[in-house]
Amino acid sequence: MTKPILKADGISIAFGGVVAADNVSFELAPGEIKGLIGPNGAGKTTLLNLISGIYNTSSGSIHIDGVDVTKVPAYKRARMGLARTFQTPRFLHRSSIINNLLLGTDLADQMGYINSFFGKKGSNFNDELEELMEIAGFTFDWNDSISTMPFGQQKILEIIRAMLEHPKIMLVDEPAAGLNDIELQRAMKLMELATERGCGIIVIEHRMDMVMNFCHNIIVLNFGKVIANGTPEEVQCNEAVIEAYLGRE
Amino acid sequence: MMKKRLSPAVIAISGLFALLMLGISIWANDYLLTIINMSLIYFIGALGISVLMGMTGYMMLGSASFMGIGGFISANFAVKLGMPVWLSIILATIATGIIGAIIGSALVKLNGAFFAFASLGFTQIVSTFLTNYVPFTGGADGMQKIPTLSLGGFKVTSLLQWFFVLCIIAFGCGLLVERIRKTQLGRSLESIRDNSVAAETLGVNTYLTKIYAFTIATMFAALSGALIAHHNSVISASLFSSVTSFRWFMMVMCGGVNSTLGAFIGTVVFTFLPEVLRFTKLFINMLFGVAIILTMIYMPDGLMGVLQSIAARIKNKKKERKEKQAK
Ligand SMILES: Nc1ncnc2c1ncn2[C@@H]1O[C@H](COP(=O)(O)OP(=O)(O)OP(=O)(O)O)[C@@H](O)[C@H]1O
Ligand SMILES: [Mg+2]
Repeated sequence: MTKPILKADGISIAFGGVVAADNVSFELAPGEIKGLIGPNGAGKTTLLNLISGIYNTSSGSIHIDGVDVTKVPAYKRARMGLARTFQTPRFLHRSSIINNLLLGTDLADQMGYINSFFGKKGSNFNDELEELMEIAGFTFDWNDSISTMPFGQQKILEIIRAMLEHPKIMLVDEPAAGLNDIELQRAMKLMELATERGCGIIVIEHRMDMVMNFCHNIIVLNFGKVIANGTPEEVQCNEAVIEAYLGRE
Repeated sequence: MMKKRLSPAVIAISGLFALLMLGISIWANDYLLTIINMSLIYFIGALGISVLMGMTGYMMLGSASFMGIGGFISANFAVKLGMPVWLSIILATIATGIIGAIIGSALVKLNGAFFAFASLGFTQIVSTFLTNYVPFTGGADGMQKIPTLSLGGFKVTSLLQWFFVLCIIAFGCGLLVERIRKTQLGRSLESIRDNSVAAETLGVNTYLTKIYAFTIATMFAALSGALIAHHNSVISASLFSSVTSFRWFMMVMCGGVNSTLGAFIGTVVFTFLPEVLRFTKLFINMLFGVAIILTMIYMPDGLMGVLQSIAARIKNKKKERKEKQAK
């Protein structure tokens, strides 16, 4: 197996009495799509927050590309190539769509405020965006406010922003929520393009049809614990998983 | 997709300003020029508030103190050290910026109302200091006979000459802020304002970036303080109280907090109104109060927000018409 791009080793966090992540370990390879599933409140989003540095893990360690980032703040992890989207899209709601997307390119270029101020050339935003929007299949007046955009398209746009960051790792929280089937196909195409570029993806999803067809590997969480970890076929036959989803007889 | 082109609005506004400048240089008397110059000076400081409050979302009630610090530093450099005035203004702005960065590194850790109150508290401290520290400020008497600006042997003496100098400085500062808005720093600041969690995951060092914004705001305030000192040739600490901070804040809020043109409109309106409404005497503050309440209720984005929504409506109508024609 290739060297993992992301490695979590026994990470945990508790909120009051609720253990939302309990000794979670996994590895993500470049180009891999890993599904993260589990019942509501299982701790999926919390796990992404731990990886991206919004929460600090109370034990264990996280490595990005072999570097220990356990104590590294979120913005530095982002600069190391960690991109993410949110369950409810997080945009600058008072800013234009274009500004929202440019923030992704800013992160890819990392040229600094001064260089940017004096007009240093970075990556070709227009061409990259055009390529991605062709896959996304919709277009907008880019100077409009982001709040005019429907929820589903905002979810896709967040994936696009993440891809503009040229990430090594993408964490995607419930991309299918609010999307119709065609839009979902397009979102998956975008993510596939990212993996072709060597990006490893962790995707949280409730729609089993998508998860089983789309993901190379799957982690199942319940009450913050990993109860199964393997290929879609393995996970589907796993006793504990069936129990967690269907309830104990 | 994003071709650079001068929009008709920009051309119209530039033309309007050119005409205005011409008119002022021909007709304005000293009384009028004084008011106009003051509004230009306040506009420069308002730009800083616009960066910190409009772009970054931090309610700044401490601008007057940095204006005072900048003003007195520049006055002291020029009077006591005999420094050329252009240099003393620049050095005062930089020195105040350093002070601002230090104060800012503590203040920007606070959020929302806490930041606003802390910045107000800072104004009180500085105001007391300026009023009482005689060697630096002349105490209650203030400082007199501050030399005027001279550039390459040319001395800026008349109010009209000052008017042109201030126009150039204000225009330059406005361009600077617009450039910030359109580049990475501006976007990062807006990301902090709208969604600081997203900002962090987009690689923005929010703490450091907020300190930058605070420092920029203090430097603009300092520049306007230094300009006031040399323009009026006198300054006294009484100007740099929380009252001035509040008035500045109101100018920016009513003009439009997130727009350079809005800051301009706000400062002009709020410097002229007191003169126009002079006959109302005591009631003037009451009128201001009412004006602010009404603005906040009916136009939260200030006068500029109203103009923008009108512009957007016109644009939409045009679009609809085009679409109809296409059919
Ligand atoms: N900041 C927080 N403070 C307190 N409790 C939290 C916090 N974040 C998450 N939790 C709790 O941790 C548990 C896991 O939440 P999480 O959002 O990770 O679930 P999830 O698997 O993403 O669920 P869903 O499918 O509904 O999105 C829940 O019980 C939740 O209430
Ligand atoms: Mg979730």
